[in-house]
Amino acid sequence: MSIHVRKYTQSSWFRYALPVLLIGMAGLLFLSWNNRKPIRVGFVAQMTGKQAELGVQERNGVLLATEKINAAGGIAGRKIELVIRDDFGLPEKAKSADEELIKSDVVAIIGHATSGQTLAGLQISNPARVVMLAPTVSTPALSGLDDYFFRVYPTFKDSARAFAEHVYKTSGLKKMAIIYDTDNTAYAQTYSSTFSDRFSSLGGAISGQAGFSSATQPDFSPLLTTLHKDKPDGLLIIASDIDTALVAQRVRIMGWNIPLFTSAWAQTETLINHGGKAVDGMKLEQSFALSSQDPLFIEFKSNYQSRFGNTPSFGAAFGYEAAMVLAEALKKTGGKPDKLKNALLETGNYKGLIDSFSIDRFGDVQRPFYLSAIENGKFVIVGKLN
Amino acid sequence: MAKDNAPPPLRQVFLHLILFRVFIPLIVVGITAIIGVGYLGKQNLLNKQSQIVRSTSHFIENHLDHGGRILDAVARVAETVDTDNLRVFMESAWKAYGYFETMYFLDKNNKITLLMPSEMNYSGLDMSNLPDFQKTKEQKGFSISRPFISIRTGEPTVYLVRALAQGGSVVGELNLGLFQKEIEHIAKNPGKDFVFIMDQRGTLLAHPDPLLVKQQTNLSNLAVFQGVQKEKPDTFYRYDTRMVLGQAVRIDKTGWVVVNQIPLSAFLSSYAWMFVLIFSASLAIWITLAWNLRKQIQRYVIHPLERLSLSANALTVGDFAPVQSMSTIPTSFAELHKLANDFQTMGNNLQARETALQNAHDELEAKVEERTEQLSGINECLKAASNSLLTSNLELQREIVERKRAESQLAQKIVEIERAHEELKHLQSQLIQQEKLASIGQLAAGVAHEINNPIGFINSNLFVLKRYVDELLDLIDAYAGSFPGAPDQVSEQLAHITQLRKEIDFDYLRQDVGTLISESIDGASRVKRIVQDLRDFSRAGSAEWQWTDIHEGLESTLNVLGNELANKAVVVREYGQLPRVECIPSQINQVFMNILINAAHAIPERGKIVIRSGRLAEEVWVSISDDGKGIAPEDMAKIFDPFFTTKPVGEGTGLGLSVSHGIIKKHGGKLEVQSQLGKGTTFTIYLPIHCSLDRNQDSSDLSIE
Repeated sequence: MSIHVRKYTQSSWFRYALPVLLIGMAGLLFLSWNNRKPIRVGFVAQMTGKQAELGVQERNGVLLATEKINAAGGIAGRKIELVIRDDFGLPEKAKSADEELIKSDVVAIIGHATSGQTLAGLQISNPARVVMLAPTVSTPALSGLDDYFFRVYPTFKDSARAFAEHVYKTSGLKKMAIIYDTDNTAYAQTYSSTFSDRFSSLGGAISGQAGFSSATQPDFSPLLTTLHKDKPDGLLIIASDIDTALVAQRVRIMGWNIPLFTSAWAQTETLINHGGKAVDGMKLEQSFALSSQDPLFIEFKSNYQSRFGNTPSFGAAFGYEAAMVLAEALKKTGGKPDKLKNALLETGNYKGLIDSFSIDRFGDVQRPFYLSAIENGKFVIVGKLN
Repeated sequence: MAKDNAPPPLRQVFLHLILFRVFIPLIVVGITAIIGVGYLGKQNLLNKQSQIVRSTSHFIENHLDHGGRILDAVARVAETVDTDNLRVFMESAWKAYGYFETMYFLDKNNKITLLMPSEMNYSGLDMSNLPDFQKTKEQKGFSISRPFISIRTGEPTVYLVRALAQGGSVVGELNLGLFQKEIEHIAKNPGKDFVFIMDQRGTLLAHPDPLLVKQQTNLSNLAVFQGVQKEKPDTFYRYDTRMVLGQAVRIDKTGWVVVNQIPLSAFLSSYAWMFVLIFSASLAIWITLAWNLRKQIQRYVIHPLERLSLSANALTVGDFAPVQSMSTIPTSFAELHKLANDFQTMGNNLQARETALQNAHDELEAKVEERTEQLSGINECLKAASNSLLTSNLELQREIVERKRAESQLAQKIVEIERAHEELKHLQSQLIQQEKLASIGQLAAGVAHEINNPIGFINSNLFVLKRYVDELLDLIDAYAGSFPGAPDQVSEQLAHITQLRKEIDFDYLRQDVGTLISESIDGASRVKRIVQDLRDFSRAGSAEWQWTDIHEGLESTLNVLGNELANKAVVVREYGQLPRVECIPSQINQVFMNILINAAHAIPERGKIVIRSGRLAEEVWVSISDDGKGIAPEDMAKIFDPFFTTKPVGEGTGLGLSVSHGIIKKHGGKLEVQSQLGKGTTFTIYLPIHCSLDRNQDSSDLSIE
């Protein structure tokens, strides 16, 4: 008996072993749960409604990039948490969405998809010194400004002029009619005037211009009938994908067999899906070399396809690039928003999905742009414009 | 240090045994049970989720079938009738079912021929590029497009497409809001499980957050979505920063995926209950077991051992009783039983030896006793002789006692005789005083009587004289003022009169005669009053018990003393309310007089005498205080003794206070004295209002007649 007794008294430490073990386990769990806080990055664009396709594509591109970065361990050991907001394509909603994002302590905002909403949103983000990085905004109105706005898409100032030159010289059209969406004036009207100025200066004529508000779901027939009267050689549509598709369809239903042109804004699958045969042969300028054989781009396309079940459009590609550029800058700042602007400005010779580009001191980029066309329900590259 | 090596008590050993051999196995069993229950709980949850996703998928299938049937009906009509009739039918079908948001009839080039509701904007549009449209042509029945945003409504939508035999198709546009309603109906309790639906590519068709659907969110990255493609329907995965348990089912016809998802925290919270329950149950079992075992061990092992130990201790002091009760020790196991038996045998053997010893001892004792008895016989004889001596001694002692008693009786007698002598002496002094007073009284009464008569008529004559003089004076005035006759005579007479008047100083005379008479009246009255008081004071024939006003007696005494007091002291009266008191007034007055005279004598030059009175229950009291020289403490005991005096020889008899004391005693009252040397003395007389003493005897004694 006494042998047993000694054994037990000596092993009485064991009484404490169980609670110690439990507490230790709980502590480990707590530590692992209480891992480092993620870096919050905002994303904002129009993702609902008829014109949502561009925003949805951008969101998907950003999401794909984020998932890739997080899978590779995040930035400085921290994951990226995407905070997504919808601007519903309305300037007021764009402002409130940006306010919400800034309140959520995002280090930067990726967005918006369209120029109008970007101009509104910058009224919030610039005073708050929060970086806004737009994937597809191309209005020249934001060029040459030293602020917190950045973009990975070139301004259309040059591309619209080159597009006009192409129409006049290569296509040999001397008289153009223009129809544009007045809801996104920052883009559409500026594009229209840039194009017209160049076209006129070449000796061409603008036979007529018609504006419509997409939000009112207008009947395009009367507008088109008016433009038709002046017998233009070509029609330039500056509008979103869905409106461009509907205008094209209406033109063909009218039996008006006129060459159609459109701006980069409309280049989504929606244009083709809803444009039907009407958009076949339509030409557009854009900065998206969709037939590129760059291995990075091919990998991106296949990843996107398997993640979202469809092919990426330019919105997805530039969304992806924007997120990657931002991640690169965040790596330099260690995930902190301080000096993020400087880090972004340092972006030089960045290898994008298709080409390399640099961000200039105003947060703008210079990238090649292409002339493409729709053939048999598909975008094809016709040639380089610059 | 030796203590460290001492083995612990059996109890502790058993507790350790229970802890390590029972509790830990119990915990292990508990944990196993928890794991088991957790597994079962998960299975149960999965079953529930499975039911939900299955019922949801059935609902969707039914729903789509319903749409398919509508389309089929329209398609059959479209195959047989012309466009106008079709328009009518389509409109009625669209309106009647309200199932499709929009219905299209497309011609063989996929251009919109008919549209419900009919909107001109859209008619004629080419729909051939819409995704999933081309391939449906080959399929029998209807096909479903991937979700997209409706060109007409801007809402998330899918198309149901039914190809027509002659080319073209009937298309129904189904608003995904329909499914939305269904899953919101399931996900009633927020924070718990909810259902969402994805298409075959992971794009949301329905989700409790409708905005996610509108934004065409794609959740193909969720493990549950990837799992269901590999026939693994349930998975733990991270959803929006939370760990969740999800179960999915794939709808065969469309490839859509229905997911039911529950946060792990919600699942664990129910699981935690189970854990707590099992843990506390095992703890309770352990405590019960430990307690019970402890009790049993106490009863069957520790207690018998302790009794054995006690018995052993008893043996060492030779107490065999516990050994006899050894058989009653409960022995639950063989070893203990043998130990007890051995112990008992040992005890018995020891006892046998002890008994033998005891016997030898007893024999010795008996011999000693025998010898003792012989010795005691001799002792008896000696005792008898001693007794006779004692008896004679006692008698002598008794005699001495008696003599002593006689002696003490004699001494007592002597004391009594002395006391009687003292009393006699006292009485004698009283008698002398009384005699003295009586003679004074008689004298005073006689004098008073003799003076009383002449003073009476002097007094009354003086009154009459005064009146007469006034009248005479008036008459003189009248004469002086109105004298008739011859003027010359008159003037002569007048001059004579005036002369006369001057001689006798008539004016002064006139003034003085009144004064003289008044003073004489006053003097006569005073004499009368003094006489009255003298009479009152002596009150011949008043040595009887009367109801008397004590204040009256005081006042007459003060009057008698008159000048004697007035020269020495101011008398302050602070009388209270007194009833009449039954007493012999002359004797009480005598007491007052004695005390007041003493007070006056005690005051060296001038002082103050305060007389107070009051009632105390059935007694009245009168106190007489002076501010004189006081009584020396050594004299205090003697002041009531007869013939004791501090006054010069011839001035005091030393009987005053002694007599007063006697008087008050006879009245059943008491006389108290308080004095402070140099400050004054207060005598207080207490008298019962109604005297209960035997008067006859006393009154005869104290009669001053």
